[in-house]
Amino acid sequence: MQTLIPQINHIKSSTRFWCMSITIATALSLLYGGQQESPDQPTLSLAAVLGGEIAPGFKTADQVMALQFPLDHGPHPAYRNEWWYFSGNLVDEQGLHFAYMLSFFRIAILAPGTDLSQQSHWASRHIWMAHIALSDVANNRHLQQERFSRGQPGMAGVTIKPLTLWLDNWQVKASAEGFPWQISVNTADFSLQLQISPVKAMVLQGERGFSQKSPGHASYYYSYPRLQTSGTLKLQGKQHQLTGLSWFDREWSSSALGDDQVGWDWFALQLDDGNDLMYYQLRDTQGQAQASSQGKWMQTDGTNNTIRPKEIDLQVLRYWRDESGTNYPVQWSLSYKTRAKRWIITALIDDQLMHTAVKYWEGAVQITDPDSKKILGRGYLEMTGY
Amino acid sequence: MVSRLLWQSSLRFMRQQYWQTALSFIAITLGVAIVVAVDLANESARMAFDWSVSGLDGQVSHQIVANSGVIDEALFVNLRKQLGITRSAPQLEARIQCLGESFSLLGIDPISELSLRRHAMAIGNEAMPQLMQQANGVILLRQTADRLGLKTADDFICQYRGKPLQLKLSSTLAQAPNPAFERLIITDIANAQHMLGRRGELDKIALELNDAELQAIKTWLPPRYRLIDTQRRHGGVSAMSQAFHHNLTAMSLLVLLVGGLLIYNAMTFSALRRQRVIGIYRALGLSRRELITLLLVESVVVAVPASFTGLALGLALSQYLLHLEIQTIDDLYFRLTVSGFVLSPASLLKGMILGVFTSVLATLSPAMNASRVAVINLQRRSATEQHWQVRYKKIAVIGAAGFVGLYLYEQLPTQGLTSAYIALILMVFSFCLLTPLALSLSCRILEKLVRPWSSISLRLAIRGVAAGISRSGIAVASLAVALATVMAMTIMIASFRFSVDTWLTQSLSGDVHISMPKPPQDKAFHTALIDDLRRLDEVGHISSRRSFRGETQAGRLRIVSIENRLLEHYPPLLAQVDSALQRYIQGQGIFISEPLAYHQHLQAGDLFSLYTQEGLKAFTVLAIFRDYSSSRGIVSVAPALLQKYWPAQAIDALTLRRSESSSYDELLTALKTELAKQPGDYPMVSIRTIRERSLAIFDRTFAITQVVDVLLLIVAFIGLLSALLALQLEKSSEYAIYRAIGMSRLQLAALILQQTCLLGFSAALLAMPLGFLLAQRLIHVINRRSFGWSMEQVFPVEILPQSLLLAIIAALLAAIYPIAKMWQKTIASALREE
Repeated sequence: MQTLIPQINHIKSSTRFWCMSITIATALSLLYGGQQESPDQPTLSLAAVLGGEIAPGFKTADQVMALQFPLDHGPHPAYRNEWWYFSGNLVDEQGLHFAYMLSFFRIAILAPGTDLSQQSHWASRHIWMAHIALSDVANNRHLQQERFSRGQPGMAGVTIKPLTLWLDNWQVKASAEGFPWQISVNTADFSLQLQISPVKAMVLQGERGFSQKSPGHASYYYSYPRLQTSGTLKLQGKQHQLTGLSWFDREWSSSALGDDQVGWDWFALQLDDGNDLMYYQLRDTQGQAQASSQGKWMQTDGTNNTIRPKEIDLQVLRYWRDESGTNYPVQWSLSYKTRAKRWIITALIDDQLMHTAVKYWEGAVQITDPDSKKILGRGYLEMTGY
Repeated sequence: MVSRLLWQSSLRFMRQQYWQTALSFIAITLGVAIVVAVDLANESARMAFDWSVSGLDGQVSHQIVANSGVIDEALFVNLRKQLGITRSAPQLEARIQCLGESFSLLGIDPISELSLRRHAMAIGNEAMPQLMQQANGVILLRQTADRLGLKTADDFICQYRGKPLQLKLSSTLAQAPNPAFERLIITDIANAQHMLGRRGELDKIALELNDAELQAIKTWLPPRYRLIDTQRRHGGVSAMSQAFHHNLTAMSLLVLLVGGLLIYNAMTFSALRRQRVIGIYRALGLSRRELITLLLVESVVVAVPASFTGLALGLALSQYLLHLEIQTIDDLYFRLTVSGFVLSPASLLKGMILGVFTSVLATLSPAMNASRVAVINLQRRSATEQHWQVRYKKIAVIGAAGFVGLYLYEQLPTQGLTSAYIALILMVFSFCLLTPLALSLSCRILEKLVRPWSSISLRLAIRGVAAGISRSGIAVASLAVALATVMAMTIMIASFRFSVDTWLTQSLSGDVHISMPKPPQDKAFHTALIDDLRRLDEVGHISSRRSFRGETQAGRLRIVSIENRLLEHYPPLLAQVDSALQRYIQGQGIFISEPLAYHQHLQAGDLFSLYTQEGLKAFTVLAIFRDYSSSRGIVSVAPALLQKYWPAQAIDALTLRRSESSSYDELLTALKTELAKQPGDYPMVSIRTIRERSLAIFDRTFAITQVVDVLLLIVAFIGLLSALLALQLEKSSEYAIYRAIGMSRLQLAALILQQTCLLGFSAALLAMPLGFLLAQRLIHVINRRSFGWSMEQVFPVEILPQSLLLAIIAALLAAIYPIAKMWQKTIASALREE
């Protein structure tokens, strides 16, 4: 019987999976180990966690496969890990800007075939984790919470028909006919009730949803880059009616990244002209972007183009330093050379650091024109390995 | 200033009278050792108790428990999903035996624990997830694993309710965050449910709540569950153990008293021995202050090293006492998960203060006397005795006043345990004060009685005792207190044991006790099984028991219901309302056990509330019954009532009696054959074994008191010895005169023996009324206030000759040294000393 940690160590997956595996594994080691996180060396734990073999007993993402919906919104217990990611930029009646990020992670601790011999409903093959963050831009405030649960007996999980995804009282639930989906999150600080519906079709990332990260390592990955969002936020006894756009990302796999990859910068940008851009830059130990970095240009008319690293030029314009002294790039210049476009990407709040078991920066950004300074859109940025 | 010459004189005295210095030394050492030992053991046991309680539950603010004792795990899921109470964790516990030791098997959800941050921190990054991955994996503290000789990945077998559990040590914890881990076996909740056969069940839900969540839960929680403020509950649990500690503290106070007397005696003697020298010093112009300083410094010089030796000895002794004490708490009250020894500085300090201060105090009084008395008188021993002849009468008046005060104190409407102990100590103290007068009076009476026919030597012996009352009074008092304590304890324990035995015999009816398998089968199954068993020729009568831990207005208590109970097997009813039994059977009320009635101030006819499936409901207390199974109390309900309010409770045990035509073995064989056909395991145990085990536990409980008894006797013996030695050695010149006027050595030896025997005999005689009084108090006041138990008082007659014998033996032993010394001395040398 393997331990959880080595199993996590063996996870080879796409970028965002990476985040999950780091978070879970390091979360366990940090929380259970009772050690202080070493903020100046987050990559150390990352390097320690990643690498290794594909674990036996799990299916691997190794070929293009026809994805089926709504089935594939649901669980994939044959694979080691999967996640559901939501983020969005919203405004209230008075034009106050709020952004949110909600993610659910499933991580297997036992392979699908293993015998759960215990006469108990608590016998679980999975651990669940969820993160919520709310950026209150007007007040320069970033609220967040992290939760864990085992899968059984019913504290967390996912079912289909209709899709229901939950951990404790955080829930995403599809209506009987599919969309809209209801997001319901309650924390001690705020409560968020949202309704999301796609205004642009689903985009299969990589090759028809098969996302090859490096030789031998891949995942299944799709997105809803643009979902019309409305709902309410209760914050400090005040209710806000919100509208705006959300983004949904979905990925599952059983394998992780290469040992030389220490972090990434992931951009999910929604432009006011109706085009969307997703790009992730994988950084190696030298901090250089790797060739396996990739993205997608998703146009208003529904046509999509894969983006290769050579088409992109990313420059850091400004850093923000956290309490531990780590520098996070909070302003970028992103050039999409193929289309002769250049944008300035700026964090709406510098400190959108997730103080979860493993720190990462995940937050709302604003896209501006470098020359006219005009706001061209909004989006989300995720940065790890700093 | 005391000159160097004086110090030298002082030192030389100590060296010359080495045996006396040694005796003082031993007295202080022993007194300190026993007080420290009892105190340290007490303190450690108390800490162990606290840790055991807080180790599991103390780190959370609240708990949810079920009125029936069993929580449906769906409650936890709903708590999370509906209320979003994330800082919550399920818990399942059972006591299991592994490799000859008792452990608490604790089923937890490692992931939920993250939110509470209690066990999580300790368990380590790899160990926790492993728990969830190994079907029988458990975690132990590394030192526990080492002690049990287990290594990681080793399999080992434990016993749960007589059934084997196969466990695998998946990992160990390097260090315990809290000593409670010493006796914990941690496993995943899924494993725990599986191993204990408790699928779907939880014992507790631990919660860390803020005010908003607290309010939310209060309105949301179904009535069959109850929210408990952890801090408040612990108050209750520790109050329970408090009673036990009070018992031991009382004993250690008695030890303190006897130890104090002993030290006093030794130090007084030391001062008296030197009266002549002191007289000379004074005659030579030594001031009073100088004299007092000299004597006090002397006493400190002996007391400090003696106290340190006492501390060391006490430390060693306490380890042994702690072992006994932990065992007792374990057996009686609570599954103590900790056995760690605590070195309490307060206990050590107490011992040190006792040793040094008692010595100083004991020296102060004779030193003051010596400094006050006219120089010429100081050279005469008789002066002190004259002084004493007046003083002991005054002292006796104080003693008598003490008894009167005690009587008045008793009239106050107080229920407290502390006041009971104060009264107890007051009684002993008053008694001590009366002893010299009692001794002197009895000597006078005895002398009159024996005068017509006795020998001169006996009369000399009697008069000697009366004349040396300053010495003999204290010796007799300390021996009498020790003997009386032992007697009282013996009477109390005998009465207790007798009552427990009677109660066991009456309440344990039948021949065989069968535990029903867990998880409980459905009711139809039980009915069918009982019918099957009833059809056996060997079975005469079957009664079935449902027993569970339920929530009541007085906290969580055991609720028992016995179906088909024969009338003669109802426990003895101590108080009841009219037609109590009939009304009980009809389900019109409940019976409660004596401790519950006592602690809750309930009488027959009062109302007592229980949490039922319909919420809190008040029931009439129809009768109060005798029960020693729990010092918190139990509730007995008739099957009719159980059916109505706790219908889910399954039968957990059967008691069978053989038919008149069959033997016990035949019954057992028939049962084994029949039960083998049924699914599940049915552990069987004979009622006789239960009774024997219960009594064995009882005996073990009082092992510690017996050990302290023995220690007390040893201290008293040393006290007697030193007093007698002093008495006899002082008289060596007197004896020399006797010899000079024609008494043979043998006659003189007889005189010494007679005198010591007389002292021993007096002590034993005086101990008897005191012992009896103390026993009365222990039985009717202390035990009642501590446990709420009443008991039938028995008087083990054999303790009278026993204590007499003990006293005489002590006296005889004490006579050996003076006789030997007298024997060696020539008349001339003895006379010269005068």
